[in-house]
Amino acid sequence: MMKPETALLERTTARVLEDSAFVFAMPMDAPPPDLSTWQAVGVRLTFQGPFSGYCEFWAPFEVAKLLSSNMLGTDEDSPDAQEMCFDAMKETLNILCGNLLTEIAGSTPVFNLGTPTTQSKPEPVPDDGSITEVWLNSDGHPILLRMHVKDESSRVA
Amino acid sequence: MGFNILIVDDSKVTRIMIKRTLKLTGIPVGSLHEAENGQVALEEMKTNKIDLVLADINMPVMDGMAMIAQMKADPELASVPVIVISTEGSSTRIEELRSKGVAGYVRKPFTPEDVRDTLRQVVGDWDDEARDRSA
Repeated sequence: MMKPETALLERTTARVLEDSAFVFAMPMDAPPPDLSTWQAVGVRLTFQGPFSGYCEFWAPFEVAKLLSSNMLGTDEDSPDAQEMCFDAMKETLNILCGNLLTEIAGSTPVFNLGTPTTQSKPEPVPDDGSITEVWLNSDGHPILLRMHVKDESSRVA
Repeated sequence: MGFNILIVDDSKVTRIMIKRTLKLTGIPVGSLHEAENGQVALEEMKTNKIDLVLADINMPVMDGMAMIAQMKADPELASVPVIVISTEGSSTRIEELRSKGVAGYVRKPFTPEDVRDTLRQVVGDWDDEARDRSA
């Protein structure tokens, strides 16, 4: 089964958040929040290529606003930052997914990415091992990245 | 006088980021235009004189590849340089872009230096360019 390493997801997520929006994050030591009560906004992006699946990115509204304001160069409480925080989440996921796929599969294969869509609530992860998820901490806020791989032919070391 | 630049990306946040980055690079800008997909971009190019296109690949309605193909098939647009700014990391895809006439490529996430260096490769030293264009 093709399953990306947790450390790779953590590393790539932290790098992309820092490079694209000056948002700093590191692997979370504390237990993750209860998904049924966690207040977060989420986006999903599908990909197709030598293997296919989707990535999901979840963060509290405060982090989404920070992403948006840093990308726009505005104050966090500006109307633009609030209005475009979903756009910022989608663009961040787009960059994350593109970078992750290159990290996992190398620079030769071609993947086609879908269009990012907003999600209403993170679903519990099934026990079948098809989803790798990592939790990061950004200024005390938990951030969740998930990668689901459908079509697996070899395990990534 | 400066370059009339068209930014094509379905993300408004990214279009704003690219505009901020262009300011940092120091490239002289005559006018800035925006489009959220390839189809809107082609319409912009028909109504405005565009000197340079900065475009994403993955967009709804008409993606960057289709837009570039239509530009290259149009004698009036074929010579307008296109720089692709995308998350694409596949060397196969980047080669394909170059074979279709893309002048430069910047991968997201990008730094202002990445964009400035690629702009210089594509349009040359803009101090000279701006001087020539105003002459």
